[in-house]
Amino acid sequence: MQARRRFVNPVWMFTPGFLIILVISIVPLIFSVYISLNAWSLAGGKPPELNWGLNYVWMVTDPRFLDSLVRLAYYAGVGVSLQLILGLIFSTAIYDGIRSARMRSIVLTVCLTPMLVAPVAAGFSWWMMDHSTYGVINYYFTAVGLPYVDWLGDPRIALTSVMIAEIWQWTPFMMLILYAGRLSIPASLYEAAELDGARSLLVFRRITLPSLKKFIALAVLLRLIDSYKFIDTLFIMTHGGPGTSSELPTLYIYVKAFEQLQLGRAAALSWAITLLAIIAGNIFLKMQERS
Amino acid sequence: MGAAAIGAAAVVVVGGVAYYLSTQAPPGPPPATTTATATAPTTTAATEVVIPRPNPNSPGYGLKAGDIRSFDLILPSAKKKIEGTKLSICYDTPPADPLTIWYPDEWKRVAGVEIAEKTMIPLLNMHDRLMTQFTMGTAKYDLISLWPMQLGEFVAKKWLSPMDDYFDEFGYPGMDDVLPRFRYPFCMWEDKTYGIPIDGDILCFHYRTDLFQDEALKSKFENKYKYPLEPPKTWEKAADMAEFFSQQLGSKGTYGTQIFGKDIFLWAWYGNIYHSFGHQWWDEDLNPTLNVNGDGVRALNLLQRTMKASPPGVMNYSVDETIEAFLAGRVAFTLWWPDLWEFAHSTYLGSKIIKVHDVGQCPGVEGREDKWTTTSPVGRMLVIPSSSKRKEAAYWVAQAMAGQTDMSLATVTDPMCGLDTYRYSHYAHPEWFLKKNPFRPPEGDVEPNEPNVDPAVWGEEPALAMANRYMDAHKANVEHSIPQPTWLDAYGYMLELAHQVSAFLLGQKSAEKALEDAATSFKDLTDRIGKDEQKYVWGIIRESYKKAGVEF
Repeated sequence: MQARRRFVNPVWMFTPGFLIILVISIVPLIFSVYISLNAWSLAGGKPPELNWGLNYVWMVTDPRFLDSLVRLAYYAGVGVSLQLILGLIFSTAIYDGIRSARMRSIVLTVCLTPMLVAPVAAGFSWWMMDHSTYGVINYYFTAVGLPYVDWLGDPRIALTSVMIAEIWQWTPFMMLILYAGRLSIPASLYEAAELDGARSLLVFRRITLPSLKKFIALAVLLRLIDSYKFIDTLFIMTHGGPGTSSELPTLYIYVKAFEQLQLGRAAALSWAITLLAIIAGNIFLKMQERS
Repeated sequence: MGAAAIGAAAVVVVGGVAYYLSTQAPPGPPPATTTATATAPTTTAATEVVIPRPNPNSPGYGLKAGDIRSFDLILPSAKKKIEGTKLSICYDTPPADPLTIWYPDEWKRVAGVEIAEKTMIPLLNMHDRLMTQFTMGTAKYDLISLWPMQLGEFVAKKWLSPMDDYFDEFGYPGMDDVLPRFRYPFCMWEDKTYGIPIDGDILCFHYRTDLFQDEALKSKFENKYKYPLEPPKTWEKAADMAEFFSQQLGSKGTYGTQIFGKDIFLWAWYGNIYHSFGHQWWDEDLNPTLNVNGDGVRALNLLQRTMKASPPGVMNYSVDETIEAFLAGRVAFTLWWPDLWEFAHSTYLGSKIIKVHDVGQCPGVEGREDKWTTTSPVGRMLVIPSSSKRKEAAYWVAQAMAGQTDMSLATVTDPMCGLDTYRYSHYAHPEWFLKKNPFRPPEGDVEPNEPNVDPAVWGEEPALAMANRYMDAHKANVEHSIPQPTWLDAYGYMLELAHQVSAFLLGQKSAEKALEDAATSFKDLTDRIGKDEQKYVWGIIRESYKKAGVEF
């Protein structure tokens, strides 16, 4: 009797949560696979029609999607790298440059405030600052003799402008993780290096960086995942424009699903991005394990 | 466990009944006494009122194009049916104030109808939000301010209720007073009325009179281009003038022109030029005709010349930024909707060009100067969803605001809402531009109630002359307008076209490639929708074009 009661209780406790996950996650996921295998547009009156993967064939030949992947590689590669470098610099500067622990805490908290801003609010703020006519950035640029820059209207740099906003907002996240990692490095290592007369750059290369490897891997992986699903600030600042010069895959999926109402193709695109993210994440983790 | 289940079920049942009862109109008050009319409706049983068709007692009956009637007429039988009804409405920005602030008190006073739920959707999200809501069945509106571009889609899916059955009891909306270019392609479908327009959108040519009259500029221009500097009659000349103004004044922050390069609207700026060559988007068999005789490429090149003479960042300008650029005097001329003329008179809106702007006809193309065209993007009409359970009350509100009434005149002449002329009666009464909106409440609205053209500022006669000139320009542009597409997924087609035009303007592909890709997208969309279905719809639209006098 006692054994049966122990077996029954966990199942009952597990079931409601499982049902919720089933209804709001697993069933929609399976259904989205089904949608991606259909020619289904909300416009016109045709019902969904199975086309057995033709959406995926379309996708790999769609120049707009392929261009958006190239932009994603740029945005994720350059953006995350810059966030890492800046995060590393700031966390090291705060840890090593400020003696007082209390002061370090205060400075760190202040530095984290961009992270606390809602992405939409951040997007609006940067949109206003980058405005081609009234933006303060160009105001100060031209005031000190720097050239005027069409931050959001020039197709060559619109995505970079969005990336700058993201770097501003999420470098503190990198900084926080790397700072935590820095705290975990034993002080004895640095004492030994000091005794040996090692210079600070050598210490950084031979002690700090190797010790931070796991934290760097974690931070970079999390930011890469965020890059794959990034849409909010982009939507506000440029909506993928001018034209499609700053359009990333997530925004293209939004356009396909909610503006062009082509659900089948949008579902196929979503799965493609998801699989890319899974593959990229796996490769990254395997590389970390090997090193 | 069993008790809990029974309790939960009881709560659900009671809650559901309560909700259902709350959405029903309460019984109306006893019928009020009314002014006797020539032929009263007959009665059969105790409460049944038989409405004759046509009903000479119905407000608006027998009135001709150009006439006005008062919005506050309502038959007793009609009032009895709709008094106490609470409506749910959906709209985007321009009709927001009239529908939710200015007129609801008046509607409640006259007919006892209340606007209870208000759903505002941003301008650029109207299409996708409404499509998804209607597809999911979650659109619980009684009245919607709809873009005509969605008419074909909504009618095909039976999402809209025709209004004709309500005319006799609830008022004739004066459809013969509606300008044909709006009436037939936008409001009617297979001879049924699905919408009453509230906004007659067409693109007009707005320009700075001081720059075109500046003697120094005129002299320089004529020396260079060998023809006079005046509002251009062709796009070739418009491009010359745009480049000229940018060269001369760009260092002072004033550019030749601007285009509205963001989002879907680029189709209208491009179409304004392309249609002037005499072409439609496709032929009878739905074969795309986007580059007939190379005219598509010519149109794109002309558009690109104007884009290059625009302020920096113009391809990312929002609606407000494009308006603001003209009001701040940063462009010499621009295509825009008619209401820009109204905004340009407003000190409240910060116009810096109050006395130095005017509006005229859009340019054509060389060799076809007399066959110039303009496009009619956006526009709005009040429609009744077929799912509404309060259609009669919704119809009454629609015809009160937008039917052949003083209220529609007050709306289109009010500078604070951005809704434009769409009736012959509007042309016939330009004096309304000189007075305040008499139906706005005395308080509770942050925007000032001021005349469009204040006679105290301009003088009575000059103000009336300005209003007349505005109406003349509007009329000329309407008569040369090509209706916006209203076929199945018209929005999707135009979005694809706008995308390709944008790609060309930004140097991402050649003009030929952009138009080829647009044609491929059109064919792809047609295949997805069904060629037969689309052809049928296109046939209906072509008939409406004939009635509206549209020729290519």
